Amino acid sequence: MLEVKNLHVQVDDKEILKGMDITVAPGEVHSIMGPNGSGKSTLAQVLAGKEAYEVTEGEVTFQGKDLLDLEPEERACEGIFLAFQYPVEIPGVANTYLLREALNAKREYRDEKPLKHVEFAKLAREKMKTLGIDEDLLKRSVNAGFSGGEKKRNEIFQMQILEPALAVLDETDSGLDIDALKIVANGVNSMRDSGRSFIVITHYQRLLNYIVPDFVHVMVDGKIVRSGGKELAHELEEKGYAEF
Amino acid sequence: MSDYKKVAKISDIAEGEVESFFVEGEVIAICRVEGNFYAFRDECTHQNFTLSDGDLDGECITCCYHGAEFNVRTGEALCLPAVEPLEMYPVKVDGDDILVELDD
Amino acid sequence: MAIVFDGTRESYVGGLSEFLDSGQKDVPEWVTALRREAISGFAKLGFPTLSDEEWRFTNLEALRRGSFSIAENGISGVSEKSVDSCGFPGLDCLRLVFVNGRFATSLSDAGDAGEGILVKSLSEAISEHGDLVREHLARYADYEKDAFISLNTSYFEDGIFVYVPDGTVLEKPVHVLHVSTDEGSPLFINPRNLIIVGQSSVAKVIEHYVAASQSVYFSNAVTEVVCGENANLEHYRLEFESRKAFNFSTLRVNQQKNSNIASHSILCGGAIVRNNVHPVLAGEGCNSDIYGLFISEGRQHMDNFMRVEHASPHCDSRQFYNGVLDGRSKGVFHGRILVHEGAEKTDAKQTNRNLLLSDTAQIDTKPQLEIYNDDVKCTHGATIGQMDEEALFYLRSRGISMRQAKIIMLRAFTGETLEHMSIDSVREALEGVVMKWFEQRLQNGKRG
Repeated sequence: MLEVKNLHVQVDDKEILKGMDITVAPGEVHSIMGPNGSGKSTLAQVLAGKEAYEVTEGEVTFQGKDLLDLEPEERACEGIFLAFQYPVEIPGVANTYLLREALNAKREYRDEKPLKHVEFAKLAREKMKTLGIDEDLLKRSVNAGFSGGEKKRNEIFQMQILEPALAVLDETDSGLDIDALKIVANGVNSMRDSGRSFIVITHYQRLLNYIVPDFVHVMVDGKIVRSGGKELAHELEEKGYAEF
Repeated sequence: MSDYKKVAKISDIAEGEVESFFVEGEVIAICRVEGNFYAFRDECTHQNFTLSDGDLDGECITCCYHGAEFNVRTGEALCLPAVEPLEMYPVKVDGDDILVELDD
Repeated sequence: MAIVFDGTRESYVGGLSEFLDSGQKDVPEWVTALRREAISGFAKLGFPTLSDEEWRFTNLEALRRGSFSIAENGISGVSEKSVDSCGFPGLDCLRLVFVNGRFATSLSDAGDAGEGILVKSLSEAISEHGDLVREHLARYADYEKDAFISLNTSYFEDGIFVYVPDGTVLEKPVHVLHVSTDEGSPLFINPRNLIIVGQSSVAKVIEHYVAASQSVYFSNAVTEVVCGENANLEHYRLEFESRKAFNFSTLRVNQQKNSNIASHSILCGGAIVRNNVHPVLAGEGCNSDIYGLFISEGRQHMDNFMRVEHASPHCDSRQFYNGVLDGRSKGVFHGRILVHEGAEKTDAKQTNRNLLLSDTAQIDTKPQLEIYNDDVKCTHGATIGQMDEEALFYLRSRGISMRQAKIIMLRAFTGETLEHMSIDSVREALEGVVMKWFEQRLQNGKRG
């Protein structure tokens, strides 16, 4: 599914990722944990194609393609989805409009017919129910004036509509209360299947009680310093990152 | 689309002088420096004052209102208070006529 | 013989007698007297210069250098079909067409406006309803202080006259189409409009300025609006003049007690454009909503001059102006709010947001609050920026192409002002025009 090899990335001449390696097979859930500033979010943004991040070395292959060669929109259409740590507010663009444009862009990329209004509305309503999202949220401008919880739920909602092959969740749990956390986790778990993979970036072990990962990686200073199973998360919770 | 319009005659502009012309709804200044002609929009980029009211010295024109200076060949702003360059127009000489390209 | 003005103050002052002799013989004496008074205003003022505080961003040298003349013929080369193409699909409206400032009867359809309502050309109204017109014409737009109002009052030929008596609803919007044509040499056109909305009455008027060809001309429109007690007016000014035109316009509104106006100014055409919007909230409890959108490219220069005067207590005003600038175009937003002594509980708000699509486009935005009162709430805010890169990336990360993402962002930005229009077909038509403009920009753009 995804193979990251010796990835070096810099921003404003400062190296953030210093030889990052990770391999994610179809159906796997990987969790990346690490202290602030270790480069977790940078990895997420690089995978989504943010231009400000300069790749100086290494390679990223996604479903056999050179990911670094693709524009952000091409990556999305190929099946990558990033749930933003800080979802962007876009006043004047209705949430539902963004979603339909996005879904239809993806369908067009795959030579499928665009969804009609009615079909889309039906699909959206189904997904909204499971996430406990108000219909009202669809009509509002993208993330504008949303509470922190609403923004994160909206990211998961988008993910459910767009059905990516690989979803990268960048600290989607941060700032959520336990109810919202459960909703987000359910949203993710309901999508787990043998063909879909997740990279769950988090600061806290708490989320991993609800989204149980197959692998846990510890990231410090721009690279993975230790990998293990889900029990590694518990260990980190007890001991912290000090030993790294 | 290039669209050269006749704006003046060579004899309209003496060596070392700047003259201002009204053409197609625009005011254009043309300078003659060592036999070469340079045309630009006749407004200082600082506060839009009419630049041809100022003095031409070699390739340097000085706005008489606030003292901004520009190179009339390149359009470059040479000193404060101007920062933005002049908007230059391509010039062609055809016989006795001076033609200036105005884009639409 | 055409009357020619060579740009000098003297030519505009001196031309009046010839103008009065040529086509103004059947006009009532009071109109002639008004014209003479107005031109003496211009004789004192002349064209403004950059040293005038209210004109410090707009150089009128080109106007002082240009030669313009009053059209000899009325309607030439404007077909019914081309007029129809300027309409708004599905909109049931009254239509009055003016060509180069003169009424085009054959292209107009004022229909049946309703009991007691007058919708006709101003020149007709002057001869048929002289007293009514005289009571209001040139009473609000000050020809002694504003050179362009002076010139218009001196040289106007025609425009729209709308009168809605007390307690009456003008059911259909009035679409006033002003068309400029190429007559070989640059024209001087002075549309003059007068709109009177009586007590508790309602009207919608769309002033629409278009060009039949991309020629040079000097268009100078003045519209006076009287909004009676508790009246409600929605006014549109859609400016799609020639890209080489000098376009000056003034909307002067007098609002009486508890009246409401919504004003929409859309500026798109013109080489040098100045749009003055000047409501006076004269009675208590008035509400003024002033929306504007200007889009410019190439070397266009668009100067938006607001002057919102609060003269009575408990009035609210809202200014909401957005600009989109590309190429080497320049924009100006000059937002003046004047709160007179005694206008307590004034609530005035002004927002100006600008989006620069190129590195060479420029905007000067200048709020100006003049408050002679304690008990008021005035706020203003201006922003200037490029398109939000974070938002573009967010949209792209969802699979939307760069081009489409930009269109979505631009649509949202312009929608902030357009969405306040109550006539759907007008709003939709404008959205279409704006989108087409953007698509051309994106196509020409190197910033894919």
